[in-house]
Amino acid sequence: MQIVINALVLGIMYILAALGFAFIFNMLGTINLGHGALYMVGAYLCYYLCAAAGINNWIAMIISAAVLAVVGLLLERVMFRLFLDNFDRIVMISVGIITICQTIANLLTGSKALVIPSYANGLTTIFGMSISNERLVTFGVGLLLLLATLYVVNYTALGRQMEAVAQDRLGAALQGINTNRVSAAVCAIGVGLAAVAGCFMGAYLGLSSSMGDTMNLRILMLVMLAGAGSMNGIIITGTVMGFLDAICQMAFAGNAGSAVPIIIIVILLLIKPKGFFGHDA
Amino acid sequence: MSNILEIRDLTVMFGKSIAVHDVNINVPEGGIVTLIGSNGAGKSTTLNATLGIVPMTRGTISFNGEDVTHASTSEKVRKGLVLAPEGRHLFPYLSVYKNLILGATQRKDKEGIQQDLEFCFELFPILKDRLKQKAGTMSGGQQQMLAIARAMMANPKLLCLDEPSLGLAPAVIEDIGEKVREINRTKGTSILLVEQNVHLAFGTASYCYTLQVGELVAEGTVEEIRNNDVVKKAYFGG
Repeated sequence: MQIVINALVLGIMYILAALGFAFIFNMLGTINLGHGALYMVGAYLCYYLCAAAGINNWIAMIISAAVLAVVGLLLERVMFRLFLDNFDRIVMISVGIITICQTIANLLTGSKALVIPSYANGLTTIFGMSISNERLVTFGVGLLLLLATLYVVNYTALGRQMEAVAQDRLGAALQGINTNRVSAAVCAIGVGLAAVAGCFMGAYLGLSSSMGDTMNLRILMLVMLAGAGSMNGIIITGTVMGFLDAICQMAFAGNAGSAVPIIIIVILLLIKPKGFFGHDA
Repeated sequence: MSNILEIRDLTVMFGKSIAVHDVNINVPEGGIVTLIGSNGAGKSTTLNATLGIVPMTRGTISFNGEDVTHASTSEKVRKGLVLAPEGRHLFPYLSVYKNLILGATQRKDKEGIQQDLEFCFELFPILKDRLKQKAGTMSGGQQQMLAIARAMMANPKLLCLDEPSLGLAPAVIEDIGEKVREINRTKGTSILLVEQNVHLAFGTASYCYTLQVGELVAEGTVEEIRNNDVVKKAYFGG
């Protein structure tokens, strides 16, 4: 039962981190390889705000998400908008961002193992099982953010405009939609959500400068598995991946726990290269 | 009669090649004007530059008595200068209804939007039956109707149509031409129709401009153009 809880918590964090990546992929038609690095920066920022500056956990998380949202805005302005049709350049800039962020993180922490302080202490007993409040809170907030994002995408004008830009950028511009503004909003939301995921995962698994790489791998697989342009696909595959990770880490010792889910996903992609839920699947 | 759209000395260059050179076009208020020319003559470029989708190298554009040369596309749409582009550019995975509502993106007047929705359903009853269908799954003719209806949802003063006949059967083209005249008649919307299909162009418009390799070579009433030697040569084999 503990596995199910872990799986759900991991799953929802993967989904939060992947949403922003998928939004940028769908709307701008390019991949943001720096997404994982920004997720890592969100976690570190949160740690230093509460551990070093003594700010309350939750407030630190909100500040971290807000700061990273602004970073998302800047990224859209100075990178995606200028080089939208130059994939090589975007990849090179992304690699630069990753290198800079990781080097700074390494310099700051050295070899210390840091963990963001717990968001909630104690245990809650549900149906005779003890579950740590930490997990419950993580899952609850994650679910809330996911539902809020779904609401924005499906029921608001911004969501409609997002879909319009994703499906036909020129068509959207001709309806008078300010495509750059919509892209900027999406980058801000996407990177902000990744920061929140980072803040929670930093408390769950601890901080490391390579946590972004691990997450990037998950995000890439998740988005590929879901297929382009599918919101529901991301949620379903995110949950499945959460379960895969949680189960494999229990079932296999050591590094095999991280390798097996990846092997399974590679096999799934061999069977269905376009993903399971995308437009062209 | 005053002009709703005046394009002056429009020049568009892609790198070093000139796509459109010193083009002047007037569309009178409430009129239907057509711009014809063969493939690559610069018709679409002229429209795209007018809307601000393609940057123009030189020239001015005034709309409704106002200089809009440097206005953004969304400002132009808000003022009532709307384009249904070549190739339609619908949102293929969204429903017909959402496509229509997106056409009214910048409008706040709920009643007006509702009225225009009704108008579109009257004009193209098929769209009302297909409201929930994904736009990309409809036939070419229906998609073209949706593209025109979506443009009408922005409540345009001037509706620019870029090759609405593209890839459609002759009977459907006939129908589209009739609907365009109906929009002009009932709503008073001015129309700038860019076409390669001269039969549709001549059957719909009253005034005609002819483009050849980026330059205007002839203009006049449809009757004049029909008998113009240059145009005859280009289109009807002399």
